[in-house]
Amino acid sequence: MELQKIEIKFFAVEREPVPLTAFIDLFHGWIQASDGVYHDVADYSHMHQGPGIVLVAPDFYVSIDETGGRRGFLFSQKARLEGSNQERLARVFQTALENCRRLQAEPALQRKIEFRFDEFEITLNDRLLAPNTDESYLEFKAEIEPFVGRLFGGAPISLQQESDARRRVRLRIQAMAPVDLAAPLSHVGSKANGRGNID
Amino acid sequence: MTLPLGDASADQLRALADIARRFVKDTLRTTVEQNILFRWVSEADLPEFYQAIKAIGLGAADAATIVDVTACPGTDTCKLGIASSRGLARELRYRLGEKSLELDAAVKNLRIKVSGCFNSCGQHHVADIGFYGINRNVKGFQVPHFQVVLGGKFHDNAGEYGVPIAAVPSKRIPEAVLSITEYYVRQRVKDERFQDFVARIGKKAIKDLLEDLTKIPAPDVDRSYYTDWGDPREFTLADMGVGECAGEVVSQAEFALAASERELFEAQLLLDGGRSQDAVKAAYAAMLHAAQGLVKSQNPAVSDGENEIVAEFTRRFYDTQLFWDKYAGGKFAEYFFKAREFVRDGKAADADRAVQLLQEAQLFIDAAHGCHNRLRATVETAVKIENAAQASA
Ligand code: SF4
Repeated sequence: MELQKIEIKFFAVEREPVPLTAFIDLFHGWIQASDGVYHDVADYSHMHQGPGIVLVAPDFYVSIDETGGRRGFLFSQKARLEGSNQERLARVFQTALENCRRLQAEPALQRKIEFRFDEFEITLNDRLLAPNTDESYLEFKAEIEPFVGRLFGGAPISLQQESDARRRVRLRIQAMAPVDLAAPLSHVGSKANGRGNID
Repeated sequence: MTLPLGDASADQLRALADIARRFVKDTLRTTVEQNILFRWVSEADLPEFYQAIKAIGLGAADAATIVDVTACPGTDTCKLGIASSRGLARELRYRLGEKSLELDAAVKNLRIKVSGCFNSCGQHHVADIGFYGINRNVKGFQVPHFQVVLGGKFHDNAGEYGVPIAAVPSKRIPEAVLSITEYYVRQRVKDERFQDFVARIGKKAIKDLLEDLTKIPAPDVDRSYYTDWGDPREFTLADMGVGECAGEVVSQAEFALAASERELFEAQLLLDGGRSQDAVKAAYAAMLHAAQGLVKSQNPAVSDGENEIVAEFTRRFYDTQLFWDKYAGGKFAEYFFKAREFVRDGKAADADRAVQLLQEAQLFIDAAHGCHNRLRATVETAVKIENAAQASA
């Protein structure tokens, strides 16, 4: 199976509630500070458990996502990536983590919100390449397990399959021991730029 | 069942499919108000049905009320969008939703529809209270505005279009809605419908009501008025063409454009008074004034003579395509030429023709504003480039 359109969602831990709309100005600040990396913000704050606030870049989306009733940082790779599946996973992780870390450190958020790196979801957003079947799941799992194993430095992990067959292929991954942001980043090791491509 | 701004997530849609299977034999409909209609839910099933839609966050009780604002995509995703229709709709939905319980029943039943531009995809023209996005120049800045359109008929198979009343800055539209609806509650006679109320009170009274809301503080006092909903980006002081030699010419053009809007409003009052012929002449005069304003930005010496204004407008703005809309091409200028012919040939205008001509006049004047703003931006950019070149020389 070719892994494309990979999505990663890191779940949020909120010390104090942060309204979704707070991310609108914040993401607009990213647009202004970047040189064409990001170019639009879409506001879905009116929706129940919806896509939240989405920052649009040509090759990916970054969002504060509320799908499934759990807020998190969602990175969604849109553009096709070259390389092996492991290389693609590494690139997507690298860019997702960089963006997530940047968001977490935003002074405007006053550390009210943090993201968990010991539990996240990986989804394949392409039903043609990855229909949600048992076969896809097994192939997907075979790619994810070694990658996440390296990511968490061999710490034991649990993988949980998306149970609703109508949804996309998705795995929830949980490290059995606490993991901080620095650990996954150091294990990803791939050089990616802000656009999700290798330099 | 209401979908806020017509949006639903994939999870909600899958759940709706399940609900349709369970209660209404697999059938549901989407509506022009961006909602979902379940037909033939049995009364006995209603409590369970409600619990099912509530569980997916779609149980709000505001379908088909003033809270349930309809909007086209606007600047969110539409390249033709001038102002943020969805941003405004979201804000109105939020503010009206907060007051929903205390709203007078007559107000609650009104419909608000918003289009991001004159193309009317939000169907603002058949709403009780409609808005379409335009831009206006205020103190040298482009400011998102909405044209307030009142009295459109949603019922009777959309039997009547609303009429433009005033251009109000986008950020003041919620106040305008409040002002109009409170006025309606105070002044309506018995069970008077909103359309009848607008017709009886008259557009002038409503325009007067909104007059204060057409003004905004200077940018150094409150810059938020110089941004659109959901987009904090503002114009900077560098965008102002202060001290340019074109300043006086620009203000003359703006003066003429503002005057043309007042004149068009007078034309609407004539039309309301049953004087279709006079209304048509006044609307054409307003278009002529707008054209003259534009011409003045290039030729300050242009006279008040009709032939000279039309010839200059044609030569400088139509033939050069400066006036052309990126998508509508020369359509708005052609409205002007057609109106001229109509008046010159002394054709009789019945009420329908007069309404059409007045609507075309409004579009022409909006296009004149748009053209003026584009040209002004070009001049300012050229001045900045020139200044930068001089500074680095
Ligand atoms: S009304 Fe204008 S902005 Fe809205 S969808 Fe139509 S063309 Fe686009």
